[in-house]
Parts: sequence; C-alpha cells; structure tokens
Amino acid sequence: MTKPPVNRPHDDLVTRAGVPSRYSTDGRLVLIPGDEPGLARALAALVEAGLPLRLVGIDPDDGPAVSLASFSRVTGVRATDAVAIVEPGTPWSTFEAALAETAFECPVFPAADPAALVLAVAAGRVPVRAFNPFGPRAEWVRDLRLVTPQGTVVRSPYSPRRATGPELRLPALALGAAWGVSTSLTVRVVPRSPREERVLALPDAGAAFDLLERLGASGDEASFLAEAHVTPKGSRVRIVWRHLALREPPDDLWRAEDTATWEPPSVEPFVAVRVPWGDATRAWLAGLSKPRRKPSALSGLRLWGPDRQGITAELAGFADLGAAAAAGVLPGDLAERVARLAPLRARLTMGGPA
Amino acid sequence: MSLPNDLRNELSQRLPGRVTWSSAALHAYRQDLWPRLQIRKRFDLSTAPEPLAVVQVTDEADVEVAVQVARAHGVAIIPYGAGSGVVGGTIAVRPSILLDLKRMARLVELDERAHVARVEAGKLGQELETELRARGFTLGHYPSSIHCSTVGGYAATRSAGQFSSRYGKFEDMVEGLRVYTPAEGWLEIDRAADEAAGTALLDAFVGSEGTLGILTRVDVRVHPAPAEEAYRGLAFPTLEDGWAAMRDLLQAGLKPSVLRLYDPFDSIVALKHSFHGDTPGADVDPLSLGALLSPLKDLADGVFGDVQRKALKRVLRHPGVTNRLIEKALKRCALILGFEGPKGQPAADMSRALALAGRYGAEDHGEGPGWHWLSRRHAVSFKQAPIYHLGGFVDTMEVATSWTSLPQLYQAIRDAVGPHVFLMAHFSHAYADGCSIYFTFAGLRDQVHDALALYDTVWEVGPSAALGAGGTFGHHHGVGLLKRAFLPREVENGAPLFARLKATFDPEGLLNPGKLWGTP
Repeated sequence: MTKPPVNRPHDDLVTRAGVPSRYSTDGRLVLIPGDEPGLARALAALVEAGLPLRLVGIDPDDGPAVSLASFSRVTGVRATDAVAIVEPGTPWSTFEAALAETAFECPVFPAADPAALVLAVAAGRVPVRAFNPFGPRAEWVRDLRLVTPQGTVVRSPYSPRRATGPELRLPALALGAAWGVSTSLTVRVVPRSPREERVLALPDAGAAFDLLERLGASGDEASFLAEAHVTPKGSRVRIVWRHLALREPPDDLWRAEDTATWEPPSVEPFVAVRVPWGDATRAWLAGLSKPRRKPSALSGLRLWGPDRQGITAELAGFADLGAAAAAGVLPGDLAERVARLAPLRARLTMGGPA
Repeated sequence: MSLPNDLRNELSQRLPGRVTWSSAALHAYRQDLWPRLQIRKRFDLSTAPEPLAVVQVTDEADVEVAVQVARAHGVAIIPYGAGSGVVGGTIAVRPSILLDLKRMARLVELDERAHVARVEAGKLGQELETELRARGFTLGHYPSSIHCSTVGGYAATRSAGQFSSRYGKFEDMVEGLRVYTPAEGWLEIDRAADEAAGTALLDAFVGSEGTLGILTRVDVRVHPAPAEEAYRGLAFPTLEDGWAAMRDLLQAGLKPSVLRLYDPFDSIVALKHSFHGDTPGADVDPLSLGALLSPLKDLADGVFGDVQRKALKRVLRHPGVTNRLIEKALKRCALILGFEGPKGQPAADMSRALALAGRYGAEDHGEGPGWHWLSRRHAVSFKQAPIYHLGGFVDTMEVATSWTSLPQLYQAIRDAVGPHVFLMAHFSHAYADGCSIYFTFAGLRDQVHDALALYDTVWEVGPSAALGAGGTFGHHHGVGLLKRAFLPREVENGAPLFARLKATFDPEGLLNPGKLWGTP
C-alpha cells in the first residue's frame, strides 16, 4: 500500500463507496471493489460526485478511478461450446497462459500490449489483431455480465445469436463505464491446431495490397492471419495458416513468392482503421508508403486482417485518431464520419442508463 | 380512431399521392402474419387496431416530412416493410401512421471490389437476390419469407436465413445504415466509423424493431455467387448424435451453407420421401404409431380429404398423447447438409464433413434428399392453411442456447408445450458455440376463445421454459407484441440501457410505441 498523500481530496468517495482504496504516488484515488456490490457502490459514488467513471488500466490516468484488480480470474473454459469465461481485469497474457493449459486458444490478441486487460481488449480500447473472421467484437465477445452504477446486474441467458431487441451489451462495452462495467466476459476460443507460416517478400505496397486482397477474396475461412509490414523499400507479408478447417493452404499462394524473413515492427502507439478494397484505398496506401522528403509523424504502416470487404491499416506514431486526423493521414472522409458520430457518444454516455 | 381532418389535410398536402386511408388499405396494413391474428381472422373477429393512415414513402424527404407531421399532430409512426412478421411488431397500440417503405426499393450501388451492396430498406429479399445474381453475387440471406420481406425488416428484426451457417445472420451482414431519428435527424453509420468513434450504433439500431429510428438504407456484405453446390442427406441414430456432428463440423471451421437437423418426427414429415432404404422414421412400429401419424404425414404430402381431416382433428385434439408416443417410438433423425462456393471447394468440404459426421454413426443417403429439400424449401409455409380451415392454428417458436444447454432446452420446451399442442422441431441455425431450435406447433379448439386461450398458454409456457433452461426466447423472429413480456427476463435489468437509447434518438416516443421496452 502506497503511503497516502497528505492532501486526500476524495476521502468522501471512499466513505461513500465503502470499498478498499489506495492513493497512487501522484495522488490519484483508486477504489478497489472486491465484488459486484462493491463495484456498483464504487461506480455510484463516482456518479454522485459528478466524476467521470474511469477504470484503471483502461481510461486515462487522471482523477479517481476504479480498479478491476479483484476481477482478474479465468473462471472456466467450456469445451463443448468452445468458449472461455474470463474476468475483465485479467491481463491478456494471463488469459492466454491459462488457455495454454487447455486444448484451446483465443484467435484474438492485443496488437501492441500483451499486458492489456481483457476488458480493454474487448471494449476496443486497445487495438487487436485476429485470425479471420474473428475481427468484429460480436464474433468473439459472446456474452457478459454488466454491473451498473445503479447497482443492478445486466445479464442474459447464453445464446450464440438472438433477436430480442438491440444488442445492448456491445454498446455498453464500447461506451466505456458509463452504462456499467463488465464483471465477466464469455469469449470464443478455438481448438489449438497445427500452423504453417510463410513470409513473402514483395517489391512494394501495391503488390502487398494485391496479395492481401486476393487472400481476403478467397473466402471467410477461420484459417488464417495475414499481415503486411509496408516500407518504402518494399513489403513483407506474413501469413499464418491454421489447419483448423481441415483445408490445406492454397498452393498458388504458397508457391507465389520466395520465402523471406519476418522482423516484427517495433511496438509503438498506433491507430487502426478499417478500409475497403478499392482504388481509392490503394492510392491512399501508396501515398502513405512513399519515401518522404520531410519527417512524418507516421512512423510505420502495417496491414492485417483482410476479408472480402477490406483490411485494417495500422498507422504507427499516433496515440489516437484525432492525432492521425490532424496529421492528415486518415483515409478518405473517415475523420469527418467519425466526427459526426462522436457527439452521439457523449450524449449516450451522459448520465449513464436513463 | 379515424383520421382527424387536420392531419388528413396536412398529409395530403405535404405528401401528395403517397397517403392512403381507404378502408381496404387500413384493413390490410393493420396486421402482420402473427398467427394469433390469423386465429381471430378465421373466426371473423377483428384482428388489430387500424392505423390512421398509410404513407407510402418514395424517398428520404417523404420520411422526414411524415415524421414531422406525425410529431406535430401527436401521433406515432410505425415503419412497415412487407408485413411478413409473425410477432405483431407493426401493430398500432395507439393512434399511428404506418410508413410503408416498399417504394424505396433500389439497389443503389454494388461495390464489386469491396463486396458491399447499398440497398434501400424497402427492397424485397428475393428481388435483391435476383439482381445480385444477375451481376454474379449473392447476399446469402434466404429466409422462408424471402418473397414477402424486406431488407429493412431483416435489419430491424435480426432476421436469419436458411443458409446462415455460411453467410451468418442478418446482423452479421450489415456494414452500414442510414437512419432517420426524430431527435438526431439523419444518421449515417458505417462499421469503420462506428468502431473508430466507439459508439457501437450498428449494434443498437440493428434489432431495434422501428423503435429508435427509421432505417432507409442498409449496406450489406455480398459474396461471389457460388460456382458449385453440393448436397447430402444423412441419417443419425439419435438426435444427440446429430447435435454432436453439427457441433464438430462448425468447431472444425467448416462453413456449410445448409446444416439442418430434424428431430425424429420432423424428419418424417419433412423428408420421408427423399431418403432411401432405411429412412429416418423407418423404425416406427406401424401398429402403435402408424394410424396416429398417417394424417400428419398425409398433410405433409398435400393429401387432405375428409378422411384426413377427421384423422388430423383426432391427433390435434390429443397432442400430449401424440407427442409422448412419438418421443418414445422415434429415435432416428435426418440432416440436410449443403456446401456452396468456388469450383471444387463444395465437394472437398463435403468429403471432410462426411468424415466428421461418420464418427457419430451418420448414414449417407446421397444427394437426393438435399436437392429435394432445396427444391421444396418454401413449401412448408403453404401447408398451414388446412389446419386453419379445421379451426386450428400453426406457429413456430425459435429459441437458442449453447451446445451445453441444448438438450435441456429441447426437453424443457417439449415438456412445457407438448401437453398443449402437437410439436416438432428442427435445428437449422448453428454456430460454433451453440444452436437454435425451431419448434413448429399446431393446436386445435372448436371455439375461438378456447383457441386463443390455448395459443396464449403456449406462448406463456414456451418462452418461460426457454429462459428457465438457459436459452433465449427469440433467435430470429424479433419480439413484437408477442414476446415483449419476456424481455425483462431475457435481458435482465436491460430496460434503463434501452431507455438511454430511446431518450437519445426518440425522446418523445413517436416511433413504434409499445414495442420492446417502450411504453404505448
């Protein structure tokens, strides 16, 4: 326990929440609920104080926050359903280590920080990579329990799909803690399976783009992870093929190029954007991957997750979308489209559930 | 309530040629295909309250005007597609204007490179598929209502088609939406921006059943039209074997276009002619069950004379006995398996699937049953009329759960509903982590109030049993008026979350009142 600073401006919050707490070295209050009622009280105390609901390890480090350290267990793997049940404060690396002791693995993983919390990954607060077709959150976050600031628990019977109104739990995840905090997530896992890996050297971004588009157009198999590291001097495309579908990799793909080596790009902040296949995207990528005369804030370009609709582009060197937009590196009118939706996020989160 | 003059005048002036309040139109539009209304209709009772007027919008400007007029006059707006819903989702519970979107039916754009089609919400499913096929693509969404249902309806209700195991449910197909909301006006939501903005609005509007906004355009994923198809009929010793084979197939990553397992009795009704030799149902002892089952089999065959009518009445009057006998006597069940895709792939996938299914005692009955099913897959909907003629009713209940809970869910519904109505089931929407069960049930009473009471009883005990067994009460028909009482148990404590959405997009409660968690 860190020694509390002399000035403890939020002691009233501690009293109201009635949960263990500590002050960090920079004077930030952290509430540490140990169970769902405690979590609800902690959230309610923040709401009553008119403070934003912040979670340690997920939201920016300013102001009082709630720690999910007591919700950090992998509580089970249901083999029959190929799902794992994990608590939100579990570091992703811990989750993967627990899965390693089973016959399963999760086909989704944080792109930059293996220590990211499960909730941060599930809520889209850290970029992820995934084997196709596990990209969309709905495909792999299959269920969750949500504790609201009002002290209720939002939950549903488990079902792979449903038609019982809007999917309220995914907006709840995406909107941060305002609608509540998940205390348990059910996540799709897949049987561990043999893999083959190839790295192909290609002369430029265009060639990498062509190859990834061809791979995406081949179908929506749950079989591969494809990523490209694009540089002005050439591109490397890495394809990992899982023999999950009992199908062999397409021969023409494997034989198309010489095998090269893969040097993972250094880990640094980036923003990830989904872009559609098409000439406009191709021109945008070509522009980004050209040698530049002036130093650019864009320090790296990586592509991954091709499907029939498009691919994810990771723009390294930017902490958030706003910074990427300011640098003018976002594709097409994405910045405007996001800007039109952003005010809705504020309105939906204001005051939490109505 | 009749259409007030001032509202009539304003609608006529601002939406000339698009408004109707003729009694024939109001009579037709006041109901969907909810079987409870069909029972009332059969007994010449009024079905549902009529809307005040129907506006057949032709473009987005019409939508905007209609909402403005409704708001000014304090009446509600109900978006309406083709009226094929079966849960009363478009029934007016207070004075309302129905907004018929079927004149907004263009395939606006097909991006052949990014495999995305931009479609107006009133487009009929079959028309869209036909246009896509002509250009070498498919949506892959084939609900049995495909000829009489719209793209907007699919999105509003989270619809599922018969090829869902390959192409997904409709929510899996949506890449973007254009929607008009009373409070926020026009919203254009695409998946990339929605994810980047952290709003998850696609998840909120898809399935909102017209309560949050009026969907006018949907961007959907499309796929290359398949070059080849492969079909097979398999017979399994038991239902449990069939479930295990389905689960293994999907968890191995195979994506069959069709994966339909029929419970033992549905195997006979749906497929008896297409299987050769030792067919599912061949283990029926004709002395104990033959007489009982023959009228239902005759109905399936389209044979319906006086003899069959009397026999069918006998069976439907004693559903408990019939259901119990069937459960005891029948074990084997049939599965239709299909693959489609690029040349060579369906056959290769089929051979892998057959190898997996063989582990569970599957007998291969060749291609015939699959092609037979494909050619007659919409026929079952046309076999309901004879039962209504008898004074009975037919309905379906689509529940779902994990593979772990599937046996309990199946049995729970049989136990709860079986004493009241005759029922059978198939399993046609399956996933790596679970499966839906599509129960078909039929009941019969001579008096309308008894028939309605029986119907209501089934819809009381059925969803309740589904929830009790750890499943959802609705996989792909939506909620409507039929199931809304069960929402608090389906999404426990979910009402305040929905209320936040409603307060943001439709704070005055103009849109489809009385649906989902909304107040009338």
